[in-house]
Amino acid sequence: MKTIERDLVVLGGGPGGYTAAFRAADLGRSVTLIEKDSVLGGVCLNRGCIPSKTLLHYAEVVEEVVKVAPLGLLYSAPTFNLDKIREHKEDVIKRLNNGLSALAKARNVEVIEGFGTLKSSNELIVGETLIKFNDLIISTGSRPAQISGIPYDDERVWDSNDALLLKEVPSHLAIIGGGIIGLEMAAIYHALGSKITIIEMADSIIPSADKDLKAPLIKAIKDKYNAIYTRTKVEKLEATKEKLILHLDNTSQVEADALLVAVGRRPNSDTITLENTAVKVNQRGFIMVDEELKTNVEHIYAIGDVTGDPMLAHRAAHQGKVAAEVASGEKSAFTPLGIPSVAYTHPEIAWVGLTENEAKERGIEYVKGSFPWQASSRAMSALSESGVTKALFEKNSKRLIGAGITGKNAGELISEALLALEMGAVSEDIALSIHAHPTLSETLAIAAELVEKRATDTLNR
Amino acid sequence: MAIKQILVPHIGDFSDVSIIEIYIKEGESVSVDDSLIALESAKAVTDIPSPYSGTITKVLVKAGDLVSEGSPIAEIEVAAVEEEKVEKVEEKPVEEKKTEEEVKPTPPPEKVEAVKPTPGGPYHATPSLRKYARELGVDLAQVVGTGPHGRILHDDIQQLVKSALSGNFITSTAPFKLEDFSVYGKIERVPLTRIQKISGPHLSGAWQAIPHVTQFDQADVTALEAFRKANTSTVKLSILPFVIKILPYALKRYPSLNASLDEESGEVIFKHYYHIGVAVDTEEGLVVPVVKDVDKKSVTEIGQELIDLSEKARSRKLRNEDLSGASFSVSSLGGIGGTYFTPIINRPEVAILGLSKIAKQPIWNGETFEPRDILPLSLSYDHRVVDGAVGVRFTVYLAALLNDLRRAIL
Repeated sequence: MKTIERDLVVLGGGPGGYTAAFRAADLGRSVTLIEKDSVLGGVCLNRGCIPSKTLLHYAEVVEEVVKVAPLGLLYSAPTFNLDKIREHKEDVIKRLNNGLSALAKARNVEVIEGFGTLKSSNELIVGETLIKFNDLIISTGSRPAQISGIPYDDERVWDSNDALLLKEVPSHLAIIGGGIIGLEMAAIYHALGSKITIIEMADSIIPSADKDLKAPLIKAIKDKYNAIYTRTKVEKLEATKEKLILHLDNTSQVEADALLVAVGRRPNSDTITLENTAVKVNQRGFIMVDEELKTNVEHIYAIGDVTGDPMLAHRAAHQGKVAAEVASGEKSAFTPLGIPSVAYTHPEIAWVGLTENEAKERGIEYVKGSFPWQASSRAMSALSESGVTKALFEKNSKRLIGAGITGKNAGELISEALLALEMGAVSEDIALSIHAHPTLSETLAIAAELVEKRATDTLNR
Repeated sequence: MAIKQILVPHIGDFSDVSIIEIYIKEGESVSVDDSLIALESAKAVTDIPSPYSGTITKVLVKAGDLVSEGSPIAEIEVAAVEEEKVEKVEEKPVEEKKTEEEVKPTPPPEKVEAVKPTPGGPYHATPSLRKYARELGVDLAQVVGTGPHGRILHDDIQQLVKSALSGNFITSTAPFKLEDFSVYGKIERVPLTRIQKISGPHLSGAWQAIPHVTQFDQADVTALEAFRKANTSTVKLSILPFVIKILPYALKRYPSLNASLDEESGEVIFKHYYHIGVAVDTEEGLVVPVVKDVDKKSVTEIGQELIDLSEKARSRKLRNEDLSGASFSVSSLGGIGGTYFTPIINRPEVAILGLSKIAKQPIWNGETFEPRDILPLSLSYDHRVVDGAVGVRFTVYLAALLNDLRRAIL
């Protein structure tokens, strides 16, 4: 075995890992990035956010076409060329892969392809190479979680990776897990023509989001989809030659042609022989870190999904920057007030800061401004009345503590609330900022005006 | 039926805590969680509950005893049904330890924790200000936000750091919360004078930053007093100009008292000039004008200058140059009375000499008590620069010089 010595090693080249590597290189560290795939970008770029959003765009176009049909713009029913769609998706990914690879090269970041495992707190093994390092940033991400009783080797049983390969469009797709991933895949395959059945264990789909934000989505998909079962578990899966038969604990049966298991993700802390180091993980397998992203071993950092919820690329990337900065001697820490969550469903759901449930749990008294999009002229003109904008303010200071938006482009619209949250804006600040009319973004201002009791676009109840 | 011993459970990081009350008697039956004894810990009275149900067979402690974790409290005959429970109760601490171990690995995010505002939290700082505070090591919870809606501004953080650097911790951080005194009687509010406002932070800064030691001594100034009284024809001379005149002789012998400490470089700066600051009381408050080059001036000249400076101080005509450049200071309260006091060093000087009222004292001259004029000396010095031995040698030598001026020319 060959032995090499390196300064700062980043294990895992996803959004957290490559961001950490690039930032550390810019701060003057000599950086080695280890990635098991032949390309950088991790799950987000190759098997997650980017391919799913690329496919969701098709779904959105289909939605729009359906909406305008009764309004005087009639297209013939869409036909799909799966090869072309797949090719486009691969092309988007490839262009981004190439971009990352060029950025790594320009920064003199050494990229080693291979699966890295830890030999000690100072040594990694990648293939036939032993790498001794000074500092390590672990960014090994997460993988789809599995539940028992599912024949995973059956080709008709998918995880999110399989679903994004777009191998075929099953006539009936059953999805276990009504979270963001499950619902986004549902939107894609529904647009492509699949019948959709969702089976969720919790009380409601997207359990972490507030009820009122989910209502427009539930309304939109309730009739479109075959069935949405909540508080329901799959008791038994029967795989016959023709069908996958799901026996639910509510005595229903679902006969599907494919099954997507989207029951969450688990951290990749168990595949890198972390036990050879002193680095500690918690019961759920997340590597424990402090605000400087340091593990309990001084020179080992961990970032992104492998450190806990929310498992989001933008969280990982920001943590990557902080870890790189701390490792480079800068005083940095990961102390966000809010990390936005976005479900790219139709309508989209986005929220940031505290949800109403969280505010209640923390005993924070708040006032709420909620503006339904039925009263928004822009929403009406964009055929997007299915939506709501909600802003929560701490009762005494009137400082924004959280916001949620459901509707077209909610994922883009939430950023204004995020900025207001981080800047400590009070309801008046938002209400008195002149928003363009007619826009979807003005709904946040109206929500703030409702709190100030000076809204005119609706009644100040 | 089994006899069990009841031990003091984990009661925090205390040991030798005294028992203030015993609730149980021998022969009495108790249930799980009944209070057995009350302990007085540093902050609170804690009742110790019974882990078992049963009959107390023996009380092993009495009020006033000091106990620690594991000390036996009593013996109990445990009811048979309870024995299963007993096992469980005993297992519990092991479980707890396990969780502790699992939780421990996360390095505690002590410092940064404080820099972290939360949505709906008590204060707010924007991301860039959180970063700024982190770089300076400022705990945002300590910053008083003066921005709109109490937002913490860049200036607020700077202000806190500046006042912290000048040692002004008290006024800038959390002002002491006062109760409403008017419930006790009539009160009146008078603002601090301008000088008090300026000198207050300076004094508290010096008091907090400098490890003060005050050396008391006394000088027999009988001969000096006789000489002084016989020679005050032109200028009215107090003992003060004589002391100031003599000081350079002692300071030259012990130069570390005529110095400053460079905290940044870790060097002592010795001064080869002798400018003496003299604390003067005015209506507005305390000022410290400086008599320059006292080693080159006569007692009469020093005396005249003191009169001039005091006059200027009282009529608020002191200029900046009158107030700067002191290498050592003197505070004389002798005109009023008192014996000894602990003067505060006038930073960045390292020592200050306090003079109190000269009093006739019976002094043993070897054969008999003799009435002598005794001047109390109180020397405060910065212990980082001046050793205790040097401090006392200085006062002893100064006292000797004041006792007989001829020693100066030896």
